[in-house]
Amino acid sequence: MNFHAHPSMEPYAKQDEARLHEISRLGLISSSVNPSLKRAVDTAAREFNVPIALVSVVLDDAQYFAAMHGIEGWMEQARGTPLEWSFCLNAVRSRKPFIVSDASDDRRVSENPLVQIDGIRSYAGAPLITKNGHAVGAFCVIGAEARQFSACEIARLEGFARRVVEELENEAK
Amino acid sequence: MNSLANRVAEYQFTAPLSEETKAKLQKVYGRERAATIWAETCAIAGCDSSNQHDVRELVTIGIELSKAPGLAGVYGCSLTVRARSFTALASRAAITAGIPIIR
Repeated sequence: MNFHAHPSMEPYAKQDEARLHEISRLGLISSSVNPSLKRAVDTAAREFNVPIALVSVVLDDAQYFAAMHGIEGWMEQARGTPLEWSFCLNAVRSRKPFIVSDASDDRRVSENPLVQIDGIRSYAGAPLITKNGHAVGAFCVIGAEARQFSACEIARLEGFARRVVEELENEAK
Repeated sequence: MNSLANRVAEYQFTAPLSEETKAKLQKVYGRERAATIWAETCAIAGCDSSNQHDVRELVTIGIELSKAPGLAGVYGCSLTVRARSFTALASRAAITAGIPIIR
């Protein structure tokens, strides 16, 4: 993956317009933070014993943090990152959990500046899939050390993702 | 002008351009409506819609555009994140390099 090229969602263009409309429908780019989403990331960070947990919304050329725990520095100021550096994009495209146990030793992500410069070492993200079937982002936990994620932990992460979507769908009614 | 003007070397990240967002708006809304959306957004942001915009103006424009309904709002959010990423990273790089930040 080229982490320094402006991302192109062109192959996904038609489906992506519908997916982006879904993001708008669910109010995922609101500047205010949904308290339920904030509670979810705080809980996940504690339960997984990681410094960072996020509800990340994958847009057309950026990812936006709808809720965040433990994010500091430039990512906090931006409240997201350019899409080309997004780990969560993998969960969105595959519609499955994306797991990185040791980013420095994983060819999929080892050259990502978030790994090389910002120190991300482990990542587990479960896609947020709406009632209309669109993957709009991911619920993820991030660590500064290498670690394994058990099947049970991945299932718990998927549970967090499902509950976030339920909350968003209820709010959108 | 130094290389921080449009690229943060460490991240190999280039500043976003207004043309990129305008092109996306045009593709979805058509030329006329996209131009109207852009002009109205720039007016609210206090920027001239016909000019090139520096990254700080793009943050302000992006914030206003993100309040629009539908895809325009999504593109505004993307623009805001990319523009803020650039300004934050460029500021950090300037501090590291000992280059004064002009406010």
